[in-house]
This record gives sequence, C-alpha cells and structure tokens, in this order.
Amino acid sequence: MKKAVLRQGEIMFGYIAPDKGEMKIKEYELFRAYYCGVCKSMGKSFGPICRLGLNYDSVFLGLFLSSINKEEVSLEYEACIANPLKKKWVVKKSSSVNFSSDINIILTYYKLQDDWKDEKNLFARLGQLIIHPAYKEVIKNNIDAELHIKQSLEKLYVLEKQKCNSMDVAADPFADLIRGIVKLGYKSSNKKEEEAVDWMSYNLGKWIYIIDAFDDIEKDIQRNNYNPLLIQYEYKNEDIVIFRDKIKEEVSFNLIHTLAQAASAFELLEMNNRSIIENILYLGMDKKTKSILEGRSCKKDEKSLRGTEYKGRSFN
Amino acid sequence: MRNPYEVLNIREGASIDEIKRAYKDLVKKYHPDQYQNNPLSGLAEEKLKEINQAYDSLLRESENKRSSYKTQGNTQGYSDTNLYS
Repeated sequence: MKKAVLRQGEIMFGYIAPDKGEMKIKEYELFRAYYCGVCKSMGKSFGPICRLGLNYDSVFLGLFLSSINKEEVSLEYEACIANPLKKKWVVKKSSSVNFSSDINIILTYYKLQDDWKDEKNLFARLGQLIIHPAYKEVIKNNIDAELHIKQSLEKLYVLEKQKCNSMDVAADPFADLIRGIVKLGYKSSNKKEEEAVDWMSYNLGKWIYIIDAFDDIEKDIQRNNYNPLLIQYEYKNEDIVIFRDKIKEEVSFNLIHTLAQAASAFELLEMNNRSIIENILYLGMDKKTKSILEGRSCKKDEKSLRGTEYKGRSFN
Repeated sequence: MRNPYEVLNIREGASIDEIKRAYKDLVKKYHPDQYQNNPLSGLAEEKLKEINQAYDSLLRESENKRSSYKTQGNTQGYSDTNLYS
C-alpha cells in the first residue's frame, strides 16, 4: 500500500456546508460573516497565504463553537484582500473564530506534512515550509489541541497501516479528533450539555470520515491508497461505478444514522444561531450526502465565498 | 424552573392551542423512542420532564386565568350592571 494515511490527509475539506437556497438572507449574511471572520483571523495572525487553507468545515467549527459558547460577537463592515472593492460583514472579537483559525493552521500543517512524507509532493513541502512559522506560533497557545490532534492522527495511522477493514472502526480516531477539538473550544461548565456537544461533534467527525472515504473511492483505487470501504466491501478490480453502486445503500444507511445521532444531540443543546446550524445539519449535510453518493464530489463543488463566484450558480 | 414559554419555544401569552401544539411537537421530538440506544437518552428524559413541567404550569396558569375571569365576570361583567340604561 503506497500511502496508508491519505484519509487523514483529507482533513477538514469542506463537507459541512449550508444549503444556501433554504437560508433566510440574514442567516446567510451571518454565515458569511463567520466565513470572513475565520478567513480574516487566519490572515491577520499568520499572513494572507494561510487563508488558502480556509474551508467550510473550519467555518462550521468557528460558527458552532461561537454558538454553543453563546458568544456576543461584534460585526464590522470591511473590505478584504480577495474583494477590495466590496465591503462585507465580518465577525470580530470571537475567541471561537480565532480558535477555529488556529486549528485550521495545525490541520493544514499536518496535511502538508503527510503529502510530503507519503507522496514526496514538492508543493506540499513548500507549503509546509511557508506555514511553519504560523504553525509554531499557533501551537504556543494550543498545546492541548496540538497534542490531541497528533495522538488522534497516530491512532489513525496505526489502523490504516493495519488495513482496518471496518469503516466504523477506521472512522473512530478521526471522529474522536473532532470531538476533542470541539471539547477544547467549548467554554461552558454545563456537564450535561458537554455530553451532547461531545456526541454531536463525534458523529460529525465520523460522517466526514466516511463520506470522504466514499468520495475518494476512485482516486484511492487509481493510486492504490488505503480506503476502508475498499477492504470492508472487498473490492476486486470490478468497474468502479458498479462497486460504488453496490455499496451505496449500506454507506448511505451509515451516513444517515450518523447524522441522526448528531441531530439527536443538537436537539438537546441550547445555542445561538440555531437556525443556521439547523440548516447545515438537516439540509446542507443531507444534500451533501445525497450528492456524493450520486457521484458529485464536494471537491469539485466547493467554492469560496470570497469573490464574485455566485454568478451563474444554481441554488437548487 | 426556566420560563415555561421559553421551554416550549413559544411567545409569551401564546393561546392554549399554540401551547398544546408546541407541547405535542416537543413530546414527539424528545420521546424515549427517539432516543433508544442513544447515549443521550438520560438527557432527553430530563428534557421531556422539563417540557411536561412547563406544559403543566402553563395549563394551570391558563386555568387560573379562566376561573378568575369567570369570577370577575360574575361581579363586574355586563350581566349585573345597568351601563346602558
């Protein structure tokens, strides 16, 4: 197996996105303000190049933490480097948003390190060198998060090297990675709510891992990479489309069950921005599940919210 | 105890029909059947208790209002006065 750790290399890609067409304008504006908030926080603290690592999952992390921490955020109307002529609302003074931006730097660093180690990808090495100072800066204030990420990734590597043949077992360290990150960013002392936050974030992590595994089936077959679905469902060089169709129903059941577990926790939590998180959980992620199971990869779909990219986009 | 209107997620002064509708929806949502084999079943049970208490308190409040209206109605209502005479 050429590269056993690709799954973790795909950390936080951007699966957890809202269904924009179903959002109220004020919800969309606020979501976008969080997006710009995370982006600006990354740019301000670590330089504009780090903003390239921004994705929907890290925006969700900032938004979710800010919501469960019931933060009073302030909004400022600002232009930015990607769109200097048009001002947009930006979430400011949010420790959750800053935390999310820090975590994104750590995860991006590990992803680049992984790509360099396993594929000898020179761009990854270059990227890693560029963000190394930012990474060093971030871990000064996030020692626990860095340690947790490192330990979770090590568990992931072990399972992948053992060619773990169960998607549930293989997903566990990644789910735990997300659970631990959210736990570190959650500032409430309410033990009961903490249980629900843990369960929700664990299941969101599990969902990301499994959907990413399904999304990458074709690529992993071509590159001879580890993918738990290929082992669990005994891929034997058959046509990729036929294989995906064969396993689709079971993977779908697992994904929907995981989302239902996350939703059951969400319903027990008191939080701000409830309608936005509800949209993401019940509509955005459901839509993403269906589109990826139908073979429409999120990696081709995801677009930045920064520019004028909405021209011609469908909201269906 | 939290504000019962907040627990049932309805506006203060909601009608009895609105209270009943909200209660019914919440009971469905947090019913033990929905949390079978779920590590959060205990939390859901507590939530359901809180909802039941809030519902009972709003029903009592509504009942009290009705009986007080009836009492006031008997002494101050239109039946016993000659307002228009």
